Amino acid sequence: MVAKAWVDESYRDRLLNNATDAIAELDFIGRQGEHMVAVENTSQVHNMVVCTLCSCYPWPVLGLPPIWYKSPPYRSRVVIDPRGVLADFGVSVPENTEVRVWDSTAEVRYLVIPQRPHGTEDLSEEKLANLVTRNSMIGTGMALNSDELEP
Amino acid sequence: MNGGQDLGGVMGFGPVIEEPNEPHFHKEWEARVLGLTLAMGALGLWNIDKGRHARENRPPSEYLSWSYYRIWLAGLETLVAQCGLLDDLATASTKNVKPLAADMFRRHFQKVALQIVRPKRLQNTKLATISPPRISTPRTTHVCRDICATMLAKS
Repeated sequence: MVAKAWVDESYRDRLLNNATDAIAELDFIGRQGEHMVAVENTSQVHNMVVCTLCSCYPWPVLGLPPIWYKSPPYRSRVVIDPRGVLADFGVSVPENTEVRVWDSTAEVRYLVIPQRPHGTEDLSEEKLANLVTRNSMIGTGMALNSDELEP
Repeated sequence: MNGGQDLGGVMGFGPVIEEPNEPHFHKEWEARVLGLTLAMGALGLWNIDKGRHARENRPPSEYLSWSYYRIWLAGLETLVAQCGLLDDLATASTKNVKPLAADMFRRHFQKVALQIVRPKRLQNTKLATISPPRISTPRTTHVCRDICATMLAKS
């Protein structure tokens, strides 16, 4: 889904305008994914997703959430110290990049479209998909560079 | 309702720690609790808001110290009791409910749980092109209702 958004600009637009339908195009539908909103990372904005009150998570797209996502440390701190949480994940975002945190609800689930890594212009959609990590779609990680992929 | 679950902005919980190659479940009972909760939810006796309230309406000391699925189990116990399901079951057991129904029920729970957790594609860093689980909610509800109706039927 992310790789498709990277290579196909019209899909990316559909994803940003109506994520529920765009995701359904690829058949990732089901419970806990009834209303989806996709938010795009750029050099100006880095997005992160949380559910402070419970553990709302886009099951049909990402499966079951990891424990850290459902636990008090992440849920409490990402809304007041997102850069500190990113540091816990070994991730840093430039000082002048805005960090936006989205609080999911029982009705609306958010999904992050990570930035496309540099130097991947020649990669096919299928190869690009290998660079997308679960954490990058929550906002606690970045998509992999081609040289970070295991052989 | 405020309570232990209202965590946004609360301080003192320390760093976020990610478990490498974290399995979906650390104990088998956790998978059963997930499957049970979802299958029972398919009966349509409660909605997601009631489900969450059942989990969250407890002393903060419990909510904050219990593991995720321990909280789910407590929530399910609350909902089952609130709906009086246990009362009916106790009555039904004296009225010759077929033991076969209970077995189908158990297998259906396992099937529902497996369908939910099948996206193993995301356990590693790769997003493979495995197709996602298909959960036919109307069919699940229909089957669950039939099985439960059989279990709870009075002769």
